Amino acid sequence: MKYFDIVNDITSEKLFKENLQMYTDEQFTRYAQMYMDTVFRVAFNYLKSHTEADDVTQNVLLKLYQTKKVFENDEHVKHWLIRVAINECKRVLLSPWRKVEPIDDYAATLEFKTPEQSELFSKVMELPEKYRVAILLYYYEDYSTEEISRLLKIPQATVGTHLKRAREKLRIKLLEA
Amino acid sequence: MFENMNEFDKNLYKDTFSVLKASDKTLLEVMKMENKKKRIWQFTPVRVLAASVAAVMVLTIGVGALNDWNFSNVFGGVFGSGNSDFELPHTIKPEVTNKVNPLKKVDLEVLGIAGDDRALYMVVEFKGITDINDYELGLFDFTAFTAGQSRFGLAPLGTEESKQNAQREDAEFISYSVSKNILSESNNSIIIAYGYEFMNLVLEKGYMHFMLVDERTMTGNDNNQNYEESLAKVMTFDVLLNYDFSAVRSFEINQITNLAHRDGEITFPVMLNSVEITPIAVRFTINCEELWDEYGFNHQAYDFDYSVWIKLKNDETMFSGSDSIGGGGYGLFGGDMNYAVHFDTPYDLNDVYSVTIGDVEIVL
Repeated sequence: MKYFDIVNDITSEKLFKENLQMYTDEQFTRYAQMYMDTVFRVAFNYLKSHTEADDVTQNVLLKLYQTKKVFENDEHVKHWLIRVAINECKRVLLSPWRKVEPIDDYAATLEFKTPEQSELFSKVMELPEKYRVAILLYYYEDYSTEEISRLLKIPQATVGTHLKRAREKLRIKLLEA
Repeated sequence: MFENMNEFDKNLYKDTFSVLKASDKTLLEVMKMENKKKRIWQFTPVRVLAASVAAVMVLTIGVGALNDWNFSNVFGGVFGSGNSDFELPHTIKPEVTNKVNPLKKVDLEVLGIAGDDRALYMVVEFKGITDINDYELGLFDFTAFTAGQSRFGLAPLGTEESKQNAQREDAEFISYSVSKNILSESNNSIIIAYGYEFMNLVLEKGYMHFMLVDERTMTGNDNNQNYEESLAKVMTFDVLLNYDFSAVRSFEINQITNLAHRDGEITFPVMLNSVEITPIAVRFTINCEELWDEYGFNHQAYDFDYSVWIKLKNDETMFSGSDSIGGGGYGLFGGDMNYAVHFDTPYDLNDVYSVTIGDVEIVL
């Protein structure tokens, strides 16, 4: 039996296409471009660390690249990516080696158009993680409380409570500022 | 923010948080994913030239893919003898002819490859080097493996360097300072060993691509003359470590298996989405959702204990051992997760009667 074969032309291309993953490059590129920043925003709001959020984003997109899951539509992909991102963030939070990094330096690099935006960013980041994520999904991603409930795996009423308390806390913080 | 201090200003919030964007590094990583299949052909001129002198080896590891080649002699010469790390089940003295850089007439010979699903080592010798200067020699690696440990050694120096989670991108490559006096006197050769440990071929199918270049090629050059000279020294080869794809059996069974929760209190349904059986490993994808009990409480699986067995047609049973999938404090749920178990001894898929994962038996 001959175990090794030397191939002098690139026959591996066929093997890759048949075996590596089911998405075409075009599909993956499209999804990555559409949702990469969405995943990053979710991860950043969860972790308050842009480096960790970048890592999570890469991992999530890698999972997308590798998954054999069949998606019904674009919204299904987005929902799945956010769900996986949340899982990844939870895993990161559990890491015993995790270091909490101040976000001031990173915030200084963000190009806010007005001081009001900078102030809002700072105050939102002071909120507890569960409030930050709920606000992001509700006000930025335009998910309903029912959809957020499914994404975060928490009861719908709890989502409503989180949003209400988040708004209250934010209002007080901005008034005090 | 709060119009009349009561209404949440959604637009201001959106404008504010729209500045949050994934970094360029992330974008590069994503592009790397999508170019994985095209990398040989579509990169920079250096890579195009490299590809032109590339030899591609398809290494298929089948049943009993062991021969009497004593790899420890080769690897021990670089990493030190008696290193048990290299006692890998699949060891190859590849039947590789010398690959010649047509521009500089440097012979490249792959002396040996040793590997399994979790590690791969390679020893390469460059012979007949006549024009090496005192500059860095780097191993430029395009593999997709991002975790684990890389080991890199130069035989003449007797040195070894290990890098945890070594970065392997354009700007960062694993390198050594090489001077002319390290060339062996007999044939002006350099023996280089390179290894990965803890890589995960479960996800990557074992695609590996190495490139050996000199410093000036890698770090950019101040003038075209140096650039052209460096290009001439590019020597490269690709290695596709792969299992015999023709022998791999894949299943899309979409079957639910019940894997008991460790404390025995709750049984979680686990969707076993796909199973792939190679000559030395069983790979599978699971998806586990949380459970809501009759009281409205949410339960998530924390650990799954499972076993994988292979039953051969001669009634012999091969047991991979039990393993556990840990989901951490928040449980294990959500998207598809890929896992694999490895067997110490290769088997012929033609001899396999069934594979059992958890309580699901798949008869081939």
